[in-house]
Amino acid sequence: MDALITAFDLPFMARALLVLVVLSLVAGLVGVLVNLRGLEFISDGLTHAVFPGVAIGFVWGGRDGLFVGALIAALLAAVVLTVIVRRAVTSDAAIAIVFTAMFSVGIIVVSRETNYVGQLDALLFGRLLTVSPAEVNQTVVVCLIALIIVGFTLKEQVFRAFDLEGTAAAGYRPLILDILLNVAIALVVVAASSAVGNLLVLAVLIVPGAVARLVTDRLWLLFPVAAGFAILAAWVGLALGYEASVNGGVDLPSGATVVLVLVAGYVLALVVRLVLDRIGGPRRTRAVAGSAAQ
Amino acid sequence: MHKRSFIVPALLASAALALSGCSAGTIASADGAATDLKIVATTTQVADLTRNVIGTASGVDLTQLIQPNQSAHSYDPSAADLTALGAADVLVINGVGLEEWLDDAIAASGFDGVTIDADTGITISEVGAGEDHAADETDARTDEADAPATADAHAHDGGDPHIWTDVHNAETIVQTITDGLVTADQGNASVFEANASAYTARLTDLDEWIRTNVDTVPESERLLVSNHDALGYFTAAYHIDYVGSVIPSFDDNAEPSAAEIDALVAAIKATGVTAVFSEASLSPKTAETIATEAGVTVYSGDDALYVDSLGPTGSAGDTYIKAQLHNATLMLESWGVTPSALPADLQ
Repeated sequence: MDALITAFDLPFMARALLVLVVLSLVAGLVGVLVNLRGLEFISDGLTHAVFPGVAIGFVWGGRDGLFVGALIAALLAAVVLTVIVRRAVTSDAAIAIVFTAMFSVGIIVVSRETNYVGQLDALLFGRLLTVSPAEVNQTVVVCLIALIIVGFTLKEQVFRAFDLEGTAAAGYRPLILDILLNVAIALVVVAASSAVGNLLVLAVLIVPGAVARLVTDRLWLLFPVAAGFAILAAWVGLALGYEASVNGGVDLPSGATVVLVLVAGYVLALVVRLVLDRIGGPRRTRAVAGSAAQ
Repeated sequence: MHKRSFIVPALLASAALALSGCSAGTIASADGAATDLKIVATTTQVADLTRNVIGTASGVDLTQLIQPNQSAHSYDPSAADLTALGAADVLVINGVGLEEWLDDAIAASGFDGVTIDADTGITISEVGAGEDHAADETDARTDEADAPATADAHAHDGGDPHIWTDVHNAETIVQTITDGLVTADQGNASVFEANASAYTARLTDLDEWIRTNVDTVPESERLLVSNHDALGYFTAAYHIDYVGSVIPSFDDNAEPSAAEIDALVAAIKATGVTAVFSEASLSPKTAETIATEAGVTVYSGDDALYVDSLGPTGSAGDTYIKAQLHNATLMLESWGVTPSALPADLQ
């Protein structure tokens, strides 16, 4: 149990926690909007889209190129995606086609480069414990930008989430709001890639928002609950992985452990919610929650 | 109004659930405080060599990071590994850029001890195999090995990192490790040096045994095809003709293209190679495909070579000497030679 405190005396544990706390704060904010807007699939697509950027960036500039490549690919994909979704007939098909195409490009680039293959799993799964101080700085800066983008348009984003036509009628530009939100999602994906990896980013982005929706119906409580839950899961997950590795002799990859703790928290919240709903009868607020999905 | 009070119990319950999992096993960390010299070694090979230098020296504790059959390229240090590294006085590494994750791990763990680099004093070769038949494969290789060799240890990064496959290099590594440990722990200096000279004598016998036996095969018949391009120092030391590798890279998890497989099959047929060797730490699938296509024997499973990694405890290759004997014996068998009896100190 003392691993919850003492483990973070070690520099690598403290750094991993710092990265995850920063991510949690942003994921709390952006993740709730993703949940309200039902953008989970787009977020999934963005993690695929970042991959060729990472691969080309690595081929072009080595490890320093990774981040730049990921950033460019993510921003490009976010804008292209927003426009496609506005124009295309079915957005899911468009997203799936664009992003599987981009992922394939990434794999082709990777297999052209024989030296690179050994690092592939680090990109896909992250190396949370060996995140370097430079990567911590990058993560903080990128998260901060995402935080500013969403923070300044939060009221409009929430308005947009519940009432697209109302937003347009009130004089806001939904397309601009959509691009800003997708860019923010893309930034979080990039920031989280080096820590928890390309494939696990999604959990950090989506699960806290989903948990917050189960825990409370009060709109402005969603954000702190999501961020708080993400931080708690990061803390517990890191400590759990440390405890298992150092004292239990079982090597739990830290990124995946944190993700499983997030998901375990979600399952628990879901079960408790279902039980409480059964005891308390149908809730009047369900109608509100349902309308937000549009 | 029960909805608001829902938040706190839900979070507490999820925390309690997760926490209950980590209360076990905390007692184990209490012991192990009596050691004076904490050593961390990266690969199975340098760890085994270091273990032989340490022998029964008191107050010395060795942690091996990479486990048997684990790739040195894609190794990801665990929290326990980083903790051990952070507390270590001495770190023994293979060098030549094999441990790509090393800088990150050192920075993350806060390791501030002495690093013993096993490649010190070893001539790093730039191309994987000593004498190479398949010219088109050589082209593919040279562009990743174009970093010029200089005196600076970190400039070796483009070279072939599998230095331990030549037994002479292992002798040099043992000397480097011994010098480093003697400096770090003067109290055990005489123990380290005695162990090192006894072990070096065994390595010399090993080298002589391999050389004597390989010399019974005409040089034109010493042909080798193996899973990946990792035996360059071995083939150069014993004048073995390296016909080609199944995987066209130093890296152990690249995949060959169809054209590369065809070229290798053609080279095998043209040169009269009789066997394709797989490696214990890699999947034998591609090697088996090529052996079938070329109509030659494939050595895999228990008969695979120990190259990137020594074998797990109890296997035929769980120490450096046993692994080298195993590899040499299999190669000699593939050339139709029955090896001579082992010297007493190698049995």
